[in-house]
Amino acid sequence: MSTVETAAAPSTAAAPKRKYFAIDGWGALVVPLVIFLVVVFLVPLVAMLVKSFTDPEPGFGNYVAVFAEPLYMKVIMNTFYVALLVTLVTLLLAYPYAYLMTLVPPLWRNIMMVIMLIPFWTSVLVRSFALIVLLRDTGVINTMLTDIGAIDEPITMLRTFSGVVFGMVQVSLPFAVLPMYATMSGIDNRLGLAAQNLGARPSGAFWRIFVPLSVPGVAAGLLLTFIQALGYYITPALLGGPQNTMIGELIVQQVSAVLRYGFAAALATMLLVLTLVLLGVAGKFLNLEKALMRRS
Amino acid sequence: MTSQLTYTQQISQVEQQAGAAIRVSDIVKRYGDLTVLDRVSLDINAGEFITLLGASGSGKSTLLNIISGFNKPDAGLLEVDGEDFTRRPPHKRGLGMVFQHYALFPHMSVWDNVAFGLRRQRRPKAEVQQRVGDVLRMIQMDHLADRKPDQLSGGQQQRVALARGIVFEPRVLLMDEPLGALDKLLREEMQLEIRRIHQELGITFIFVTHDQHEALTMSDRIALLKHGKIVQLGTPKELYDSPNSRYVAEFIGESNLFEGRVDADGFVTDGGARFGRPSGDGSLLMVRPEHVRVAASTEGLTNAAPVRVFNCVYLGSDMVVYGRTESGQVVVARTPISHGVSAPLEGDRAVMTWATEDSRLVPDDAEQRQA
Amino acid sequence: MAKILTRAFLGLLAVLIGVYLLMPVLVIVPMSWSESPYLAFPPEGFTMQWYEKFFNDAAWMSSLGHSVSIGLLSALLSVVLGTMGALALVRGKFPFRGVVMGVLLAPMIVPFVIVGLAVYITFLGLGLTQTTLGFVLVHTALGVPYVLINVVASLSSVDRRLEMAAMNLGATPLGTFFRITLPLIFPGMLAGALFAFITSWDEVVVAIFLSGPDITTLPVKMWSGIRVQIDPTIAAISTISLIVILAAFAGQGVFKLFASASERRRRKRIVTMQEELA
Repeated sequence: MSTVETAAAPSTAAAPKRKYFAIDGWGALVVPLVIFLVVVFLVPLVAMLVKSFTDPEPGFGNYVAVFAEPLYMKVIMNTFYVALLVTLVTLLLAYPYAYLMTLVPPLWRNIMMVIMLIPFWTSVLVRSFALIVLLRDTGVINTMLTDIGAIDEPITMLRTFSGVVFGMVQVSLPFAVLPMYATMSGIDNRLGLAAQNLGARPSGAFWRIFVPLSVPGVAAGLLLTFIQALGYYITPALLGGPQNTMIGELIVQQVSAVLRYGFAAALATMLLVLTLVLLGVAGKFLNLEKALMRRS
Repeated sequence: MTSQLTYTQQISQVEQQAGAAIRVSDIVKRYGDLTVLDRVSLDINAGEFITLLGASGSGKSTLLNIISGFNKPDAGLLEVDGEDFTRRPPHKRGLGMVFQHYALFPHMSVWDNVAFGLRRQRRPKAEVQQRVGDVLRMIQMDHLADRKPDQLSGGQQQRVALARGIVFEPRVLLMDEPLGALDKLLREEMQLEIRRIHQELGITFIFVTHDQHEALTMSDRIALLKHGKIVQLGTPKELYDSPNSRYVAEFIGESNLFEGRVDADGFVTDGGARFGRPSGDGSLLMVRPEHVRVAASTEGLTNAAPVRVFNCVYLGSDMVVYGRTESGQVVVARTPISHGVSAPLEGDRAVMTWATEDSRLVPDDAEQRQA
Repeated sequence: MAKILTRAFLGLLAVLIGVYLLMPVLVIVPMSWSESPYLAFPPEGFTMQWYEKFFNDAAWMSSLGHSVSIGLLSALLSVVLGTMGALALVRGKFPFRGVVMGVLLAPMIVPFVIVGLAVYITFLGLGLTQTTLGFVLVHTALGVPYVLINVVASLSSVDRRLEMAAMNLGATPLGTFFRITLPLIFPGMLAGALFAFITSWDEVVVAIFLSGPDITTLPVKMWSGIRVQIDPTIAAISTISLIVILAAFAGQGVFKLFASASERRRRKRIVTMQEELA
């Protein structure tokens, strides 16, 4: 009860009367960090944006070039295609995994969590390298399959479309499972029991109660997965072939091989704008969702 | 005590002087459009045990925080022993405090928690040892001095918080709902303990609670707050026996209130019943349930309210009878259970009666505001 | 019956996903001690020669040194800036809160390729590419959100009354911060620092842009190694890199264990308190 009075008191008491530009002693502590990020992070992004319009010559030339050349359009379409497919496969794997985590006893939940966290904190490079070792023609999988006589010829998995998806899903899974599990574990399991008490079958309770309630977390997890997949570089570069080039690789190629900074900047700017738009739109949608849930 | 004295000197003078008198004058506190304290004035005597009582949002905690220095009033004056404390930062006030939920430092042992204040005052090591040891013995916690707060029970944490607040012998101890987190039995035990410590130390205690029962048990005086104003200040007996408004009558204890008016022959309720004229002024007649008896007939009674009994609750030592008059007024009687008196049954007709001197006239809230 | 089938299906799927996730790690470690130079699995024999090759190679050692120093420095800088930022976010009042929040968390969301290109274009003109300072600046920006998130979480669980109590007992505001607040948020700061270090240690995309003959970090050196020729040295280095991360992760886990134990006790207390009030 009077907790609210006490808790709210000190900060409010310290607050000056001016409302909008007010900053207090604690608030001032954010200034060094903001300056740091503006200088190290935002200024370069703006510089990149500027470069996309000025290098090699002022104008929209770099953007026109992206759309003019079918090869680049193919890369962009491929990027979307791969990202969508990765997101979809990730959803199909992550959802049951996260759901199972809410069902099992704490010991198993912790084990499942650790299995998810180990790759989460293992570098993408190390994992992609390991996947090469597994997937290549003389790799672990092909050798084993040949040894047991299941196949005569090695199956080509490296430098294929499915190889890229296989690798990227592996990288994405933890990013999707963690927010999904966080949401699911917050769902009161008495709600499902209540639904069953009101006559719903267990499967009905799952689809009518649990799934709708898990939507915000799932949507957030998938959105992050999709955005990250759009920008992946290492995994597609190592596991994919020339046919499956993604936008990240194209950006690096343009800088390191042909030194077309302006063009690379235009590609990166497009990717950045797309990322921000997705976040903005989805952010609104997710907040709306939350507000609706709170109201009911 | 003059302001030239250093903080430590002030503290050491306290030892001779015990409690401090606190004067709160016309304190105003607003949060945006909301006025939390509206020109509150209060004189607290040295050595007194005063309780700030009120419902949530009444401003009692804000007033306590203004005394402790965590809130700055928008207007008004706070004096401690004649010294202006209004703008003094909290760490230079030297007032002991026991916080809601104790606020024990979780990363420090019991000993370090209690010694914290003495160390901030740079007392000599030997003195710190001595005092912390003494106070822990006083609250029977010396054997748990090395424990961390989260290894203690709620009651033990409560004792440590109390020890931490009094170990440097402040002139005033402020307590913000200190017993709110304890179960009923422990709370009653701690009420007695706090009362005992107050008598032993002789310093001023300011106690904040929303529990009227607690306030009645412990306080020398009670200030009842409502919407940022003190509606009544007085001893527990004064508040209980002569509330100055309907709000006080209803907040403190249970009461039967009849609306009506005084005429030449006594008190006439709006429902037309006639009772003897009690002392006091106002348009409400108040009689506490424990003064109401249940009689069989109105014969020979000055104050008689015929009712139909609609509920009867057995409380072990007492019995509470709820009746409703014809005009719809509920009358409650609380009587000791004795042999030979059978409890009325629901639906029975009965007569509620009381002695005129046990009733009292109380102003209705609107009248009180004008007064 | 349906329930058992569902559970069995979920369990089987989880096992497959677990294998899928752990397989790379499980394969790469044994290969690092295989005598075969062709990364054969199962490993043949046992040798430490790939580790020796790594530790005796000046170029590898130089990149290792750079990775360690860049990682430590950016973790340190992240903690200082991030803790200050978290204090402001939880305690302070400042204008344009929404925009500021966006700026603070943006490094977590913007794809690293974009960050790398933008930073490369800017740093090139300033002479900051191929410098430790350049790496530390960018990696700090990438690590700061982790510190923010962790410190904000631990700071939000610090009861303001503890600080009020300290001040009431005569501690100055600064003394209160160092004696009460800082010890209580230290676990969060440590966790944030570990995440910031691992972020820097693992980071390869931005580092590719900033690396060159003068400075190369371990991941970048591995990256060029993998593209040129796959040999067990890479497996050995991957194993070392894994050990470093797992050590940091284990340290964090141990800390969490302690923290969650005391958190449980605290929760229990709050629950009893709420029951009392109800």
